[in-house]
Amino acid sequence: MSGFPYFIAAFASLVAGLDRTAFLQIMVSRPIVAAPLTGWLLDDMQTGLYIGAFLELLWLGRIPVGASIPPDDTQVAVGSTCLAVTQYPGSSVPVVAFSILCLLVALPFGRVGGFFDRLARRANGTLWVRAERAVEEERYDRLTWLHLQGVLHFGFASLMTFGVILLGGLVCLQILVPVLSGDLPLVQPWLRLAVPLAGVAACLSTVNFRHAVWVYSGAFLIVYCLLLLFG
Amino acid sequence: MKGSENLSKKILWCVALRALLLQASWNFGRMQNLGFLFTVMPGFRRIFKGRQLQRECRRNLSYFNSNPVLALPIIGASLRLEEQKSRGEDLIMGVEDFKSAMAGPCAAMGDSFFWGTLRPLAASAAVWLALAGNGWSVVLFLLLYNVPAIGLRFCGFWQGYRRDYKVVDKLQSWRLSDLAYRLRSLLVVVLGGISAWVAFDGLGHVQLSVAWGWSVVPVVLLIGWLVRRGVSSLVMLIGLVSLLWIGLHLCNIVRL
Repeated sequence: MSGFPYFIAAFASLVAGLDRTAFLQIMVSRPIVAAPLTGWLLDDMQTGLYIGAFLELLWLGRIPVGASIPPDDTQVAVGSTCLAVTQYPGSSVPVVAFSILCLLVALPFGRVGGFFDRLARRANGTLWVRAERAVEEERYDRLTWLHLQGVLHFGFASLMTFGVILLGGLVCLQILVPVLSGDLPLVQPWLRLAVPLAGVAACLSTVNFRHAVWVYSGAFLIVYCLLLLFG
Repeated sequence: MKGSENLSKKILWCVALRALLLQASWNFGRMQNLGFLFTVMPGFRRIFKGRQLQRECRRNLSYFNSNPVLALPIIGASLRLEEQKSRGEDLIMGVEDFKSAMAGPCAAMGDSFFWGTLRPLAASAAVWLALAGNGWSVVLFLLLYNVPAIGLRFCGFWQGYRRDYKVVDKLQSWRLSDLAYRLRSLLVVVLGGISAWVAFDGLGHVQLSVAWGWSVVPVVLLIGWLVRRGVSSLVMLIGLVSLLWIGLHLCNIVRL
């Protein structure tokens, strides 16, 4: 297979990764956007949509407060979509189940993202020290360049995380696909049911709302009744 | 909005746009300090000259950290206060004191509202559409989040610049904490709706009676409770999928 799809995915990883902390923060970095964007660039938006939806629900409540760094859901979204599109074995394997397999394979490597992110932030620690020196020397134009070097650090961290997810995922898929591909058609409908509900549960556990259990149960009851009546 | 005699509208817009890169050099030591200085630099270069500029730059490289959206009212107000200071006007509070007094509450309020409430709400609505295979979910999410977030960024900057200290009253009048609490109830409603839709659609695919749908709420609440008690969501997901896998194989063996 040509390396072109990986370059495209690396581009998506860079754009989404920069949006995560360094630039704009218009939420292109969220899995619900990053995964479909990668899928669209690789000509399979549907796969990206599923992966983005599952992952978004799972890590929806994780917020980077202060110096805490949550797992890199952006690179997991981009990496697992890239894996799902490029490694898809063929029509004998259902798409959604394979996408979920790729997601499960990529998720543990997302923790690595924290390492590279921390590395970038540590590297940024030298920038303000150099900025102080530039101020002492009255070289104010240098401040802009020093600040923008942080973008390079975050971009590098994104690409490294993406690389680790991709390589780790490729190795795991080489081992898992021959073993599991026969079972995927059987498991797909159950995965479609269980994975989003697990995501909802994970998200619900992070919502800080006093009557969450009752409101959630009530909303479920009403919508489920409406679906039974009109669905 | 009219620029002051010192800062033109062009410079103010330049500062506001630079704030989009506020976190580019985020670091563990002083967090957004260099980002803050980078943002206000066009204004500083107009307001201060020579040794005074050097002193102000040095002072503004001290610790600063806030929410990237609600940092803009602080940036706007600080710039106005620096302007007033340079004109020799008496300030009720030093600019540094104002910055540090505002940064914490704005961070708490912004993180809770934008990242803890608005983003999950917009995302959950988009997830519902995405699970149905609708590509517009991406657009919906970006619009639902960014229209208020970008609006408040720039509006906050101009309000800060116009009102200096009094921007606190403006921020209070937005009542973001109350709004966050109300929106969180809406988020829970959307999560209930997603669960019902997933259960209804999914049970059809696994050829089980829709009556099984009523078991979804206790199962979701139980898993949610486990996650809240400290079980990692990753472990929970892998465990759940493994259980499904094993369960289906056992069912097949029993049938054979």
